[in-house]
Amino acid sequence: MAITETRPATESPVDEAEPDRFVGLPEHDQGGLAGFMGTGDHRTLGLAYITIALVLGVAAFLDAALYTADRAKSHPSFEQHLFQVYTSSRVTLVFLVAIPLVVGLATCVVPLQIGANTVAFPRAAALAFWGWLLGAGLLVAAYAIDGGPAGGRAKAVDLSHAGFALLIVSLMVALVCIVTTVITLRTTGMWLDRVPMFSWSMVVAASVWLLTLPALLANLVLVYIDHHYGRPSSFGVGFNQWPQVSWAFTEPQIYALLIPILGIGNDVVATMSGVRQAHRSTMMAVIGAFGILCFGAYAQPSYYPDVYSEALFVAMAVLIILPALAVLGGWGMSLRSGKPLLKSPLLFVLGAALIGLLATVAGAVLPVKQLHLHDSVGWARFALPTPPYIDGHFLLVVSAATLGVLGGVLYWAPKVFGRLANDGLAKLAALVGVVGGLVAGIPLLVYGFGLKASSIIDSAHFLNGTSTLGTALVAAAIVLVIAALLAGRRDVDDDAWERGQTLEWSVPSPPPAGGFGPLDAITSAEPVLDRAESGEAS
Amino acid sequence: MAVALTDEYDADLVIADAPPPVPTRSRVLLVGTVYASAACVMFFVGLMGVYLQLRSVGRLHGGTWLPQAVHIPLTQPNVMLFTLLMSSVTVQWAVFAAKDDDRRHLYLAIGVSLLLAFAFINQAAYLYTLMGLDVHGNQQSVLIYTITGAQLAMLVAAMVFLVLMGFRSLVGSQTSTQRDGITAAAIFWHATSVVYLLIWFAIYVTK
Repeated sequence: MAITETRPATESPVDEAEPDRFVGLPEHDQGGLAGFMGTGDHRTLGLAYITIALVLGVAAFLDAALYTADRAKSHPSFEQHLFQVYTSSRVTLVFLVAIPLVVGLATCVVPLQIGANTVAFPRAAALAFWGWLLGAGLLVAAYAIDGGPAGGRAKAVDLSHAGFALLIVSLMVALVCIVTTVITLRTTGMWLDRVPMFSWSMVVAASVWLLTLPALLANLVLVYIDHHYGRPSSFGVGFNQWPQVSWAFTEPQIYALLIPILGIGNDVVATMSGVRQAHRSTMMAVIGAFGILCFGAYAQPSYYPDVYSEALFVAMAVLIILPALAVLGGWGMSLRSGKPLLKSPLLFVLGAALIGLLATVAGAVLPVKQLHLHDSVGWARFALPTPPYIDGHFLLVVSAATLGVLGGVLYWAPKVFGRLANDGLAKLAALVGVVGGLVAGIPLLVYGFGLKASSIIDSAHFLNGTSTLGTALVAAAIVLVIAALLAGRRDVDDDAWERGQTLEWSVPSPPPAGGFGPLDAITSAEPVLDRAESGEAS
Repeated sequence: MAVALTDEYDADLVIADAPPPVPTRSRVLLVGTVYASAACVMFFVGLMGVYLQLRSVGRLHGGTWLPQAVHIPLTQPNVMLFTLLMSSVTVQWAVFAAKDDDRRHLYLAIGVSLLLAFAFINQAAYLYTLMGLDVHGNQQSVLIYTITGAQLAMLVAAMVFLVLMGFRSLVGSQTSTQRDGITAAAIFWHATSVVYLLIWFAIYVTK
């Protein structure tokens, strides 16, 4: 055997334009629809998640507005299906919008942040996306044919539960891919305490979701089996179905939606301020603590009605304000020590933080028994599926989560979409969204005191109507963000904000298929900033 | 870069470049499996939480949990427990065999593990016939069939995982230096055993 035969190429050809920094791996994917359907490219998958979730977001917030709008009428138009409108808006807002937006952004950005060539298990990530899309289609179709919890057509009800379960499983697979990427595929020198804050927050959020969503799946499986095999005994009985899964839409579990927002906000604030995040390790610990306080799989009022008076529940509801305040304090330090660029991503994350903080404070009041804020039995007299205070709290959290991730989408738009959004339109979207989020939630919080102060009940129509307006404004904000992205400019520099700190700002916008070439060992949490500073110094 | 020892170039005296360091194993499959196993265990924790809560409420009101006509024997669940625990031992044997590059024992261990898993499934099917629970009769039946059925599904998934890693080892990808696949399969298998241990105690022993 000849020992001088040419060795097969194992390395990718170096990009001529960027020989030292970036390697564009050969594109193996086919083009067109077949290429898209078979791709495991993290950017393509992330882009698909975000695009679809943005469109669904408009529909989901309008769905939620439809519910409160009908409640505001003296004679509801579709009272027979009001419960289905209610449940569909809750499920879609969380599982078709808020979590998929985060998952999409993370699938696209996290590998770039940590210097990885790809997301871990790219085929599984692709499977997760298609599973999620199929689940979303099944869920929407099932609701359209009188399905959903307590729906009128038995097979459609089963279909909606199956679609919901598929959504959960798919999102869990996607989360496993993301968290594994951060833990195993970091570039040399990027120890876990040097991981960018968004990536770190995804480790925390994915861990919380992977430990809690299975419990939700367990509830759904019980409902499905009991309902599907006829003669439902307890789990599958019509109006008993939703209460078993409703814990995933209330505190503390719902706060898990805010964990990635803390990470996104940290990255955005530090970049826009042009300073390194002070007390970085403390901030990471605080995000971790926030994650621990979001664990809500134990708090299932359906099986344990006294959970609101449990010491653990009360303690978690109150304590979660502390890490939220600590993170905001950290952001304040960055903003104060730097010269902040008042760009749209910053406005979005600050607005989301304001709404999120309000939600955590409102959540701390929820367990107070004397206020009857969580009194489902009392509110059942008014034919409400959930006490309005819990609804208002839900809308605040979901609005904060959606606005926060929209800020992230705008911030990383050069990497995700290859364009920088129109900042004027995006700022308008931030204003509309923040006002909308506050107006959507606060009136229902006020309405929630109705059992304590009966005069509030008289204002029910006004309060529901105001909340409807707020929810519609959040939908309008999403439309404005889409418009801002479409009106954005291409030809964006690698470091689009010219203050980038982390590795994603060292690759072209958009990054070509493939990944990083050989990278120098990372020596700090802000390698791009290091390079810029060393360049200035020399 | 190679370094010449003399001013005059002499190929025999050139010190070769040091070999590149062995790449650190990324352990992608291992970490992913740990997370997936944790999620699976939490699924059963969720189911068991519902089961135990409803059982305690049922007993609180002075009733018995299981319907009068239903009798769950303990002999079969005990045998099933020992079968699955033994299979955990044999799966770990496969990991150690991979560590020692002992291919013969690796295949043997995988085969024995699969055999024990089949025996477990067979015993579970027999136990179902003995219990005489009607799936759409009451919430106890729904819970018991859901929990035990899901555990069987998890075991089947663990078997598929092990078989896949067995095929990989046939082509030589599971060796003493890179055995993450077989280790990951073993972790998932052990998680299955832990889940059954919970079921055995909560459903079969304490009833």
